[in-house]
Amino acid sequence: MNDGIANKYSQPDPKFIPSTAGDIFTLTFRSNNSHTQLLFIPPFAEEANKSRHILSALGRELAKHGIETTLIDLFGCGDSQGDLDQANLEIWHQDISNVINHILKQLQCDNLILGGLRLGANIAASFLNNRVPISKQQKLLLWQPIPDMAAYMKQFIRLKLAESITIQISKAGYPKNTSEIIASIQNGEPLEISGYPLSKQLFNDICSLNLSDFKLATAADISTFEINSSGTTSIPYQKLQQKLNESHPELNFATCAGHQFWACQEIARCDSLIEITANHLLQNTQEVKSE
Amino acid sequence: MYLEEVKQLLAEILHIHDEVSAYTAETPLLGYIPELDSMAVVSLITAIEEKYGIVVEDDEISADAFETVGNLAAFIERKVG
Repeated sequence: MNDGIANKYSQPDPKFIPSTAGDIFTLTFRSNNSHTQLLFIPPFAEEANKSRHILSALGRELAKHGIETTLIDLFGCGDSQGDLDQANLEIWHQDISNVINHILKQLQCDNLILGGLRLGANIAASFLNNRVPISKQQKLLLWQPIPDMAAYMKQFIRLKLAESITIQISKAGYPKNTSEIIASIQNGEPLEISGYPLSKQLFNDICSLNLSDFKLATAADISTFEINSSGTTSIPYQKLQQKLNESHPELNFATCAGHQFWACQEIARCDSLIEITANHLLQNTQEVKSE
Repeated sequence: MYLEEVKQLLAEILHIHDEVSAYTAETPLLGYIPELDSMAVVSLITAIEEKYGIVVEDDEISADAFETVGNLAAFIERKVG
């Protein structure tokens, strides 16, 4: 292989793709002789920053095995155009749709997997819940999807209180509690949390992304991975698994022992997650080929 | 009952794996562990909620619950029931 070709497959390919509300930044990890394309949505806000190195590692690992990975920054997120408080779920779905159309024009194969981490996983699932099929076989790869959106948004809002929390809990509680902040969002008051502006519509859109409410096609192939230090399925995920199993008895659910890198105070690695994901996707694509 | 789990959570969230092994129920938390700043407290509460599938209300986040490792373990035990 000459240097030019080697470089093409070792360096990620950044691109801005025109979308409905603005240009969307994508980063693709090219693979020689790719047979599968993974479209992956990063998590929300600060969790995205703490995850980029892992998602890049995933892209590089999968590229070795013929799976191309494209990471998407949705409108108002990461390096894409727009402000977060101008975003909503409909715009994000259009972004995913536009990126898929762009990829399908270039792709030789019809094996497309939609994946995401944390909120990205819930957004990916909601896309399949609302849109036309993305390929012949509907495939979802969900890394640590959020089981309870209301609780998740409350946790996000708690960041607003973080600066004063240690002072306040040694005195008389919060200066303003999460319920009051949620009420002010619902009144349409602008709110910024840790540098991320949030609108009423986006807040409510995100709260609506409960996986257990989705009516995913029963034919959809769903692979869910939970990551925690013990490697045993936690109570919230046991419940989620039970709920998803009602409509998808063949749901693949695995718990991976590793750092919850999106939440760690310091940058953390999670090699085991990348390894079991790569093994699972490869096994899965080989099964498709042999059918 | 939850003492070891609290130590594991502290180790993971704060990246203080070496220090945590020596912690006991009496080890003081807030104000004594430098890594446990305000953002870390929020991360710790989130980790507890997600691990046990519980909701921690604002008025439950008290100085008492975060005073020692043992108090935090007792708090989780009360919440999980």
